[in-house]
Amino acid sequence: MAEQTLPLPGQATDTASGGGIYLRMAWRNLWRNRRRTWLTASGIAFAIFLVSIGISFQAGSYSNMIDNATGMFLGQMQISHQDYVEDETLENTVLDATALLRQLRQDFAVKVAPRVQGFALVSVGERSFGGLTVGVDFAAEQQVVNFFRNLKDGELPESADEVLIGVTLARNLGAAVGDELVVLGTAKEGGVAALALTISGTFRSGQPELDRTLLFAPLATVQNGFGLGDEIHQFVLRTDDLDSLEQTRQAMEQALPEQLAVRAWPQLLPELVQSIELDKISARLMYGVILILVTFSVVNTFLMIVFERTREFGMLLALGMRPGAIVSQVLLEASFMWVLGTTVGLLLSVAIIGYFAGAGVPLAGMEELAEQYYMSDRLYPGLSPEVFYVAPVVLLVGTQLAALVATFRIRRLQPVVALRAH
Amino acid sequence: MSSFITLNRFVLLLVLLMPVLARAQIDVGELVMKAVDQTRGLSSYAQMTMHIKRPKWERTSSLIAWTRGREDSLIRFTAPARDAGNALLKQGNKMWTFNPKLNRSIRLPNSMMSQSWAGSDFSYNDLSRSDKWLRHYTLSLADEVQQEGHAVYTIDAVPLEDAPVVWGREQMVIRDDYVLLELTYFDQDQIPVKKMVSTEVGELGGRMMAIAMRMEDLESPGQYTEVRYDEMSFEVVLEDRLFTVFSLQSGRDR
Repeated sequence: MAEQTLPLPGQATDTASGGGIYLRMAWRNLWRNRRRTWLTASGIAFAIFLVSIGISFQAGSYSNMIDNATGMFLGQMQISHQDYVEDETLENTVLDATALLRQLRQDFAVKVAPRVQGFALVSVGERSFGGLTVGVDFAAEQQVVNFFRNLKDGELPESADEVLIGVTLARNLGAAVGDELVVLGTAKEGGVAALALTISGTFRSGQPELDRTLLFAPLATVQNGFGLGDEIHQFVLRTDDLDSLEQTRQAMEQALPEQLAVRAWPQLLPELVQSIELDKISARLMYGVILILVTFSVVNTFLMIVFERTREFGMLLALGMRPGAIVSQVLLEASFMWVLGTTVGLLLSVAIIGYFAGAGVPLAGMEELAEQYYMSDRLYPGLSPEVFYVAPVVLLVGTQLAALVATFRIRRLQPVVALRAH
Repeated sequence: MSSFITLNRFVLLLVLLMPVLARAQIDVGELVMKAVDQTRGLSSYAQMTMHIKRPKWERTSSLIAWTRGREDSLIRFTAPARDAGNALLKQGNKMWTFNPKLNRSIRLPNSMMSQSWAGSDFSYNDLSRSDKWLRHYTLSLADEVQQEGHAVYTIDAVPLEDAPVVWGREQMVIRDDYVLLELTYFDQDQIPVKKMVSTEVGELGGRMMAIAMRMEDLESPGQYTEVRYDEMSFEVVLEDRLFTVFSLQSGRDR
């Protein structure tokens, strides 16, 4: 068979340099058994494809979860008084809110929405329930969170005496849009907070506890009602650059008065951070299994190669080639196989990721799960450097190790014995 | 020999039982209800000062209160001006709160009963507690001591299974002349959470009673509410309609 012909150094006419000859020999050796080479390369390609796609969609689902969890109501960052973090009482306010708001908008690339909130008795007619009255700037809120897109009936409050309430609260109160609602609670420093408001609309957020307890009125209305001056409880922030969130947070902490606490989503949603960590660990285990399996198949391939070519190696040794040079030669073959597999695998991944980056993957039938984990109904793959280097680098090390293990025997090969091997 | 042991046992039993036998002479339920009635009478009228102390602020308000029997009461703020006119009406276990600015009275839902009343350390439940002891609690005598010529009883009140109560246990210290000296609230883990102490005992309106009380939040030191009776009269003649939502709203009582 022509494929079995030993590529002699003398035949390497078109490659002049000494290093080039090894490359040429390795490349030719690769094609002495095309089927096996393609099989092994496909294994590598498939593993790289699986892992890259996996990492990419994982990253996509995380940023989806973070976006939805923070974009819903919480915001990516919150600024409040240190004491408010520990104890959300009415008195723990941020003072000079207007000046701070201006400073934040000027000095940082962020959207800011101020909020105040007070727990109070909410009543319509004869019925009353406990509720959390939140004073907001509706225009600013809409730049920061999606919450106010969830209108069910009516519209957002426009005048100072209007209020937006949750659907469940409205149902419990037996109230509809246009009804008058009374808020009665304790104002700052023990005074009486009393507000009479007209229901301008209701919202359905999908989160039962919010729909049951929250009502939103204009910021100044709630501030006056609860005896607060130019004070707020929270600034809720949004930035377009999630990656540098931590730097922004630290810069703000530096620039703002020290009694203020600046918290980003990892501090606000530690349970989300934990579930992402847990998911990452289980995914890593799975990737590890895939990559190890492929590495074993590469070990097998090279054991076969060494076994088949024992006589050939014996002859090379007899001609005076160093065992180390033969091993390097085989390692070079492994590298070529890796290059083939990686190229195919990455091309495939890029094509698939590219397609879904535009179209997204619909999560049909998983709406409830998606809601629970703060996800939207379409999943987009994420692009990060890890997507394209983790699997190739691991497999480069894997295939080299595999070839090294398989060629271990060559170092102790006796030319005479090897030449007689079958 | 055996009869000697039997006799010994009998004596021992007697010795052990002595305090129990002695205690059995007082009716715990009666003691508690008399302590409640002591500050209410058949009817009462009182002027009070309430002082709320918080780490960052304090506030003093004036109130007037009427009670009738164990069921009905009406409390109205008279100062500071900003709060004057705000009132609370209790009819049995129903409560309404009134705000003059809104000119509205609002029925308090049961879910709000454990909330703080007027920013103080008293909850609505604490104000409505007068007649609950016999209905919702198992009362037992925990201790009895002699103090300044009085017998002082410590009484444990454990809520019944189905009682609408958030506490795991309440403990009262009552003097033999029916003056409530202390009331401690324990949570479900039997840890004391709130404590009311009578800081001044004296005669007012012809009765011996706690003139000043301090309710303390044991979980946040330096945070308390003091109530002092400035004036009190018992068995006053009150119109029936005083304890109605209509009168709560009209403010005719003033």
